[in-house]
Amino acid sequence: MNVQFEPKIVAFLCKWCASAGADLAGVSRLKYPPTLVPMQVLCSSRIDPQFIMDAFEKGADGVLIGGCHTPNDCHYITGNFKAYKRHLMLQKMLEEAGIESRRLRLEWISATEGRKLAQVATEFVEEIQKLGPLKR
Amino acid sequence: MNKLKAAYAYSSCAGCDVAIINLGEKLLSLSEKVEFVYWTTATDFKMEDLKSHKELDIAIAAGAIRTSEHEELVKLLRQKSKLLIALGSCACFGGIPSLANLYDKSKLLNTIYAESPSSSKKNDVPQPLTKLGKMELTIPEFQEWCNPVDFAADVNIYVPGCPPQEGTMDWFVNTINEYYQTRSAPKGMILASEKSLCDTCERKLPQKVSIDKLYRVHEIRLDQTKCFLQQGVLCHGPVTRGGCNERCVKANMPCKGCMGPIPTVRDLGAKLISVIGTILQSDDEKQLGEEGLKKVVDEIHDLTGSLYTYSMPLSYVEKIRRKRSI
Repeated sequence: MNVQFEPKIVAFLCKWCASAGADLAGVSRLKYPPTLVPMQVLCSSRIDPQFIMDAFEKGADGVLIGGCHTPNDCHYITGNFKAYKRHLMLQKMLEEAGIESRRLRLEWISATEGRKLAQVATEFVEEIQKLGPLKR
Repeated sequence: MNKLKAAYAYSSCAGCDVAIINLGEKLLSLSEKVEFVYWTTATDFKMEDLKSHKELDIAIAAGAIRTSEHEELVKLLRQKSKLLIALGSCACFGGIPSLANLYDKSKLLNTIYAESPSSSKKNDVPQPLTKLGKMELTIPEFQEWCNPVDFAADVNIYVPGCPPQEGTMDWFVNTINEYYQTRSAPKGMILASEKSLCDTCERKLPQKVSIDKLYRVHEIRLDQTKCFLQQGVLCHGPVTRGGCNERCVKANMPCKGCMGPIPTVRDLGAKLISVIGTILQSDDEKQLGEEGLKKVVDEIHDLTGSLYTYSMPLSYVEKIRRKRSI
């Protein structure tokens, strides 16, 4: 029997755009893999890099960050840029430590883009499935 | 009262030994209460001498655990003593030697013994056991990971600092004096402030900070009065315990984090990434856009090494790396 690896994925979604997008995806009955666990935060810049590393350490195989489109969509003016810089540095750190930086992904998803969220979720799960579990 | 029997084992640069010798007259007064029965730097003792003692009162371990011998020594000290003290940043958090944990054991040994231009024979990596005719030569095994002392044994007192500063060492002497009186060993006590270094730092940070890039210390002439983060230099002050008397900051060098993370910080590097992410180009984010910001971040040199200079084994990245390698 060939059991396919089901990755655990935590998605931190900002309340104003990405999370609203996830709501829209739900209301529109779009399908995306159940292994992705969405988590609402007030702003993508509220995601402390510690949360992300915590998630990886506690068993997540991938982390998705969803925020508002740059440059002008952020509800808190520049929160998305803060999240962007932090995610770049975290990716750099993961790469330097020999961990695939693709396991951390950032996407800008607006409240109207339920379809994009479903698509990103599906793609991301497939990619992590190819990479395999984080801890072997 | 009887004198306390103390043993001091080290695997470090011997800077912590100097910190003890620097106690000066306090060391003399301490020697009325404590007798060192094993201290390889100061006197000629062998491991057999340590094994010959049935029981010890105080054991001091300095330096990280890199080889099988270091681990054996630490376990021996724990077994024989009532009070185990981790002295110095290496013993407490892994220190500089543990930065090697970013690479695999085979990569490290190959770089040193095979790939370096000075190595005479290629692939001449020393083995724990070498057979020479009928003789068998052994050396301690180089372990997979470099660990702080508490990975191998329970530690009663942590004395952080690289090397521990005068104030910390005074505290250390007082703690030993207290133990002499009460004979009750604390558990996991850390001789450092609970508050961050910034709490006592005299440099003032303005309300809003924006830096154009993250400079390395040699790339910039540092101002004596301004906050380092404001000048674009990575300072570990916000996430590091105080109590070191800000010796680096007073010498116009940024904090590197040798006192270890404050209790509210779970991952020092991640928290610092949060700090840098906030101040890096914070005035011109929209003008630069994603492309411009990516260039600025790409320019940062040796990010992981500068974030976890003294505390690699405490980091989440390393915990993940360890679980991946099993």
